[in-house]
Amino acid sequence: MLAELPHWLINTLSPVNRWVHMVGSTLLVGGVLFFEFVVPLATTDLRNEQRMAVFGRARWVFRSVAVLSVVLLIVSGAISGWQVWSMYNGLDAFTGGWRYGPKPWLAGHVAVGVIGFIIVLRVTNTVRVAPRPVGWLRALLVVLLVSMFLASVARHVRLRVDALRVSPQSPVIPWEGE
Amino acid sequence: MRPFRYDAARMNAFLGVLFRWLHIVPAAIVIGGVFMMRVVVPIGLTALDRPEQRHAVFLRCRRVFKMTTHPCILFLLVSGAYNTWTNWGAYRQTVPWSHAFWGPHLIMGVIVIGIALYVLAGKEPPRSHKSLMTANLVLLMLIVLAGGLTKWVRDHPAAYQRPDRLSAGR
Repeated sequence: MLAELPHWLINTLSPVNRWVHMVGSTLLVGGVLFFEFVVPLATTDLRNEQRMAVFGRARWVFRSVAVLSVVLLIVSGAISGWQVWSMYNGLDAFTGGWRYGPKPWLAGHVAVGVIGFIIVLRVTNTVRVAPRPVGWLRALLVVLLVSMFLASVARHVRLRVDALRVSPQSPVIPWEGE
Repeated sequence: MRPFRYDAARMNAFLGVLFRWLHIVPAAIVIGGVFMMRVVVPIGLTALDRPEQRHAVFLRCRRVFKMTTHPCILFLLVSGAYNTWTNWGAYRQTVPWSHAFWGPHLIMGVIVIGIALYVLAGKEPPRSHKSLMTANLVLLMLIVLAGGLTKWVRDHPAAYQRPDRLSAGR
């Protein structure tokens, strides 16, 4: 289905889609780290009610950013998955099973990402501040970093298996180590 | 127990994944942090009545943000240099497209680092810090786009390969 689209459209939409995915993840990861690390340290000298007021108002703005990021990540991730799926099936046929290709890593990326979305919506999408918001944000940050690492591995496995398919003698991705 | 054997291919694979991750994570921290400093923190500070208290909290935010930004710049430079070194063969095969995107990615990155170091230097921010942070945020978005296009060209060499390199394989 993708092959039927004009090349200029694929070459425009795919990088834009990836850009949207990257921007969504940067806003989420950077925002979470900021809330977890910067805001608590910056408000230590304030009285407790003042600290909660600053945290609550910033959280109110961050909530809309987080929800927008989650929506953008789901939509752009679904489009990316749809784009590479037929290629992944081809790689599975080459490796002799889905377990040896990039699919398990992609599944891990999606699964860990969904856990991250649930945590971010739980922390930000409530009327009252959660009892231990910083603890939840810390867990969320770890989850998001693991999800990004799994995406990186999935990409590497895809390129490596594809390189082996093109040139079975090649022990590495052609340009690596040059 | 099997004796340890250095395997260059596995080490390349491990380092490739690690340095890619070490490039994306600091970028995410910096971009999200700049967005928070420029957009979210000023709104959060409106909860405080006294201007001097707002300013004090902003300065403390800025100081902690600086502590996260400087290591991120170091990681971005090291991982970016490694990624460029390992991918240079693919970039050479896809000139001029690869350099058309890799060059702006690098130049804008250097500009952003310069602006960030200037804005975060000293105890008080410069007078133009708001407009400079806005400019940095826009530039960072463009850098992500240029990086994505570089990767797109690199991952699809057949479509962007120089005619005189077509016989050199992929």
